Amino acid sequence: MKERKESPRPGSDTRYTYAVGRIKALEARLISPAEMERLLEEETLAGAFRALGEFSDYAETIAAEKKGPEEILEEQLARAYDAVSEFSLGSNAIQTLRLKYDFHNLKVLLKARLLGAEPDGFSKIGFLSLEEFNRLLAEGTVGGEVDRFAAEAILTALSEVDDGDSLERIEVVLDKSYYRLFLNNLSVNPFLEEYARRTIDLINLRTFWRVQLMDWPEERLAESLLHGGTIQKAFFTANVATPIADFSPKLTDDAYRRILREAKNAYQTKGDLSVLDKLTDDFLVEFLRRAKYYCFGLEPLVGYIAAKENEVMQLRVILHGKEKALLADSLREVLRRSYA
Amino acid sequence: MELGLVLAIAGIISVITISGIGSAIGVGLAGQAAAGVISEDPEKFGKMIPIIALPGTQGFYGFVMGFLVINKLNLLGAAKSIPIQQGWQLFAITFVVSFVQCISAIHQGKVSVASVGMLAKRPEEMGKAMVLPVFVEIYAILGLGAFFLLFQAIEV
Repeated sequence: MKERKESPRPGSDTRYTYAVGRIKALEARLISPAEMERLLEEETLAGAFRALGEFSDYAETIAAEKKGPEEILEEQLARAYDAVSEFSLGSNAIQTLRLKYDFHNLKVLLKARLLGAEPDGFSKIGFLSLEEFNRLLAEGTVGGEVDRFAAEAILTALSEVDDGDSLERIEVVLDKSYYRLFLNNLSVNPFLEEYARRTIDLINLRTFWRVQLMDWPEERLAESLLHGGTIQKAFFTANVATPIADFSPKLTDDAYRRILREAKNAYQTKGDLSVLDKLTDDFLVEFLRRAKYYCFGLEPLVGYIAAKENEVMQLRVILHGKEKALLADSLREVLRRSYA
Repeated sequence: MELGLVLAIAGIISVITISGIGSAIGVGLAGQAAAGVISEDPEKFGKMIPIIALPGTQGFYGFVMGFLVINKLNLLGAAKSIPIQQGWQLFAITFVVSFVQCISAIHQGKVSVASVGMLAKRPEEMGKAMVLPVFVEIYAILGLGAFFLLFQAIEV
């Protein structure tokens, strides 16, 4: 796809004015915290489904066919990506956000191939269908009507995977390949670049802590860390033996210190490591919420995609929680902060 | 044609053109944002119209100012002959005021885009959405007012 020159000033690109208008209208249809609370209070999955059907964006999908929660949520997210892609003037930044599903699918297929099993967990949100993926993997060249942007990114990533690579190694190589593209394509202005760098920071923080908990060697940490965050990789590797309680004060960013402190406390009291995931997701949602106040530029589009991802993640927690008859309070604890 | 008259006509053209350019940009911005909202929610069309129209007023003011100068010089009939000094005076007030109109129209267009976004989420806040771009309008009106005062003072 032809390279587009984006405005270097955040919130200033008037080429996206129509798109931002549509985004503002779409944002009004996001599920509000009060509506989310109503879903939480429903006793059963059927009740939650009925309530969800009353919200404008989901009513049509739920009423049209009898589908499971996962199918409905995936369809909603795919629709959001379709809508934003339609009016984002072919922006590489927006396409890169969707590309993460193709990278997820690539992992699924490579793992299945390695284990000699059927692919499990193939997402329909990405650019390439299962057939297109299989053809691309078999032929190794971009052809036919397949999305060139995605296919080229996939082939580049594939060229970095060696035949004898383990599952973990494949995961690391593909993550590095994706986040290199992520940083490169989102660095169109300081706001989106900071978002990309902070996303990488938070992934690295999670990797750092998990490596510590599993007592992996320093080389493995160095191999797993992503490049391009505001925190240098060398800082992590130099502190691989530093306990998290002593590592946290060494961070210069107040927000990162707070996240690690709260996550450490939760881990010590409940043994729950997922709090770190929740806190990092909340941080990124809070960061992108600033995009709501931009009237021009790509930022509101990226913000909407993040908002829809956030909404779908919350709904997934609630609907699967209702399916397993979990209590509203326990679901509330793991719910991410709302963008809406 | 005398230089005085040439300068006055240059002033007329500049005030109509430059103000019109500003309004076209402002209305264009507001219109694009409104089209985005309307494509998702056609019922909001009626509420969007005044917001889109607001940055267009500067182009109208520019036309009024140009028309007043045309009238003063009787350009549609037997054009008056005016000295160079008056020609420069007419050129100065029209040319300078045209920039006030142009810049205020562009900025009003940007505020209108923000108001369109506000209406997309809170259609009940129509009054507030209208008031914000009107604040920018004040400076276009002040420019128009200053033009009238100076225009009266020029004897032709």
